[in-house]
Amino acid sequence: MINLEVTLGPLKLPNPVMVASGTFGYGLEYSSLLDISKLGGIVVKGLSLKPRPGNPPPRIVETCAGLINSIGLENVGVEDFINKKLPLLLKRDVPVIVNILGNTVEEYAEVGNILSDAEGISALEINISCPNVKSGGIIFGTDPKQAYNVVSAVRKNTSLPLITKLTPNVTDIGMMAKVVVEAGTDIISAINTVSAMAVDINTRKPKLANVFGGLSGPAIKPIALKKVWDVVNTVDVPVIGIGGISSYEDALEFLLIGAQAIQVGTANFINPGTSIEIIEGIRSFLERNNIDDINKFIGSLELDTAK
Amino acid sequence: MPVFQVKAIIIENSQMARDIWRMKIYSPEITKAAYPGQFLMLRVRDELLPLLRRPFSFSTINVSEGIFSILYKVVGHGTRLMTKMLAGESVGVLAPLGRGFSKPPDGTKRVWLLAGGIGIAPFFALLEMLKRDSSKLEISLFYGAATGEELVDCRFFENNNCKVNLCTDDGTCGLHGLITDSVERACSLTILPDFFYSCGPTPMQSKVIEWAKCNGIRGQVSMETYMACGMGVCLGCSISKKFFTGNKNEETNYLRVCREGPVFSIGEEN
Ligand SMILES: Cc1cc2nc3c(=O)[nH]c(=O)nc-3n(C[C@H](O)[C@H](O)[C@H](O)COP(=O)(O)OP(=O)(O)OC[C@H]3O[C@@H](n4cnc5c(N)ncnc54)[C@H](O)[C@@H]3O)c2cc1C
Ligand SMILES: Cc1cc2nc3c(=O)[nH]c(=O)nc-3n(C[C@H](O)[C@H](O)[C@H](O)COP(=O)(O)O)c2cc1C
Ligand code: FES
Repeated sequence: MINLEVTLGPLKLPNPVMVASGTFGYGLEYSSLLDISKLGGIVVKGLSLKPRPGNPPPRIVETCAGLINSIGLENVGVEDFINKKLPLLLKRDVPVIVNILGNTVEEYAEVGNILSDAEGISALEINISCPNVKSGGIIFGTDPKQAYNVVSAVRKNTSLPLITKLTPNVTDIGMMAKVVVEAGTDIISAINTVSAMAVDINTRKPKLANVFGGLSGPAIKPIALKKVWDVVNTVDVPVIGIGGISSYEDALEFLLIGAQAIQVGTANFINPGTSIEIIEGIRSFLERNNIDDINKFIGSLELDTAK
Repeated sequence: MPVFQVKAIIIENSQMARDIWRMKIYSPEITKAAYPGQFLMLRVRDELLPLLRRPFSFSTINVSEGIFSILYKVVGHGTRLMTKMLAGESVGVLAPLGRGFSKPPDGTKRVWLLAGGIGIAPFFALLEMLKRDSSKLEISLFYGAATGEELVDCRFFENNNCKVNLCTDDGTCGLHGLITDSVERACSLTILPDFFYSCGPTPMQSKVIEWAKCNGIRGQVSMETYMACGMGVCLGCSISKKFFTGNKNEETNYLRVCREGPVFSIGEEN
């Protein structure tokens, strides 16, 4: 028997493979194509206090091995999720992690508060890649002080395991990691999408109505790996690796450098069964290499220290 | 509604007109579940380029043979690669997806099909459905393309008692002008239809919707947008409800083309 169970501080997962927020809907959309109860966890689409319409279209454009999106955080709102989506999802016996967002510190805190009262949720993941409307639209996750404020405000309102999802669009992600740990996060996930844009030389227009968006998919994997490396090497809390993961090899790379779990995003759109295949792939890799526990592989990167 | 994710065998892949190809694919389960106006997501190849699946409408649906086909126009990297695929090879298909065409309301006598360019694709299957359900319908096709060489063979429509009206932007075949010009002209000459189906580029669709509203004709339009997932998950394919209703208050009321569409009703509350 090979053990795939991982323990991320207060959060225990049956295996280290989750699906990333915004790429798996509210959990059930793909359930006719795969057995979602086999997943390590489902991170649902980011929720705000009230429903949000999102950005005008076009909202997505494909670039070389990547996808730029400017969905604009469209979602049904936290109440609708708790009343209509959550009860059905909880029947599936899979850890449910709720991604939360807001435009003010108070909104984050309130959403966190409401979700803490709902039953069956395994953890909250704070998406700090949102603009703060009260301070000129600065992204919370790019300003240490604001990131601290958001995380500590949610922390005060919940005893659920707390994941903070970092944006790669900063100079020093290690420093941001330290700040959110000080603010009380139990776990860090990284990365969110990489700020990007695309233009059309014939129409001379941006390809997205919002002009810019966030890049995801295989194109960002090497960037993500380095960012996760930086986080792993500056803080002691468990880290979840995200960014361009499409195969079990990709997933193992993140685990090798010390991430204790991973999330699959854009790859779900191409093959909704990617995560299940990754779980199977990890299992056979461990078997082939005579490793009986995934935790023995996690963080086992060998550095040539002689140099 | 079941959705299948399969590797299916290509039965045929051949050129039909300039830059327009037809691919026949064998998949009994998908063929059986598919409905005219619905679409599929095709994985052009298992590589990083192109990354995403590409959406195509079902063009023909042959349940007894278990074969469906798509009619596709070569516009970019993905469709160019598709022309290189050979019979006997397999291709990844996720289908059937979205809401297809529905039958015209009871009492409908006259139906118009409006096709702009590759928008002709779903009308093969639609015509078959309409004929099967009501052989007495009087059906006319208005079909336009940029130039005569880009028009596909319309004998299937003629053989099914469907009157074909062609037009081209450059006048090389049929009426010289846009499909909406051709429709306007027909309106002044003959009796208006009771119902219409329209498929084509978005600017054409917005003119068609305007025409339908002015004349009080109900119908259905099949829309195209960029898609990543095709299954209502990514929220990338959204279109404003205002596009269909003209109501400014519905500007930020977004509908997912892959889920609430790709076929949308015009002239009724939906
Ligand atoms: C529901 C639906 C049904 C469709 N049915 C058909 C069909 O039956 N036959 C057919 O030929 N095409 C159809 N399309 C359009 C088809 O999906 C695109 O032409 C195709 O994805 C282009 O891929 P590519 O890699 O060749 O082009 P790319 O390299 O991706 O792009 C080349 C050009 O095509 C345009 N384009 C790309 N994707 C789309 C899109 N989804 N909608 C509009 N323009 C696009 C781009 O603006 C660009 O100018 C449909 C689209 C949708 C959403
Ligand atoms: C269409 C789309 C929507 C997303 N929505 C969210 C979201 O609501 N909240 C969030 O924290 N991240 C969101 N993300 C980011 C992903 O969860 C993930 O961090 C990112 O896409 C990188 O992983 P990937 O390369 O595997 O896709 C979204 C990504 C995409 C492509
Ligand atoms: S294509 Fe993803 S929601 Fe429509």
